[in-house]
Amino acid sequence: MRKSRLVAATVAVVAALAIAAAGCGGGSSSSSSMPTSAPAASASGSGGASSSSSTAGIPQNNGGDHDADNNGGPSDGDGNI
Amino acid sequence: MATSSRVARAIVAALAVASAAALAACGSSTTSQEVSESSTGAPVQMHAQAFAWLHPTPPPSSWHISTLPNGKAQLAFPAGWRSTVSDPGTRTAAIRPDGGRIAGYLNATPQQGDETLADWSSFRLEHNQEEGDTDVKLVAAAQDLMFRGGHGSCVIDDYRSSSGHQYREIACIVAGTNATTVIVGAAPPQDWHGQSPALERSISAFKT
Repeated sequence: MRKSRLVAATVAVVAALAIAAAGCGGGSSSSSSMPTSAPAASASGSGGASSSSSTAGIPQNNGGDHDADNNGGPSDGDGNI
Repeated sequence: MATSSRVARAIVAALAVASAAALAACGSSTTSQEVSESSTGAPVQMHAQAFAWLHPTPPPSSWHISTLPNGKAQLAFPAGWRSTVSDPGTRTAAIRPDGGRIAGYLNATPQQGDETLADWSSFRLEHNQEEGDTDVKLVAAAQDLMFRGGHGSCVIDDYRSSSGHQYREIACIVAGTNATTVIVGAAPPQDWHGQSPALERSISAFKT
């Protein structure tokens, strides 16, 4: 009886260690993917591209819009990444 | 039997200590990613005088006015500036004295993420860092600032973009009668003296 409780406790602690390790690994990945190209020198026109007014976030399709924000220029006002 | 039980208990205790240490280390690892707060350590509201230039006023008649696609905000910029390509739903204008390098930058973007007027200064600095900017430093921040038809929170900060270019920005989130919108004005340090009057004037004219 006592032995089974010890085994259960050991399993619980090992599980906690595994969860902690997984959490640490996930936290560091978000800051490693930064663009490296120079600020966009192109593009002058009559304003933004299309008139998407989605509330689900602005598409950051770098290769599509080539805006400065996605190319090392000043940060725009988009609150998403 | 008693000895083996004591050994087992010791192993469990050791594992528990190791688990606690791992969790503690995991939590502390994020501090190196955190944005530095004011170098003076003063509460951000004490920097409100840094926004004394903000006087809600319509733009000069010679300026261009660009309306956001949602129709709920207007970005004003000087005649010498040009509209540039930006994300869908946003408006951006910039001045490039030599055709390439950005000397002045203005952008208006509808509120998109979790940003609020209450957490704006910390949100903005952390957001810039998450986007790959480095050396992000708070210069000033304030809340309850008056805009044309609304109120907002603003932050002034310095950062180095992922391409290595340094910028100072004024970034404000404004809650107006139509919408909540973010306006950003930025310029490299060497251009700040020359361009900041236009940035400040545009932000003073901002309407959402």
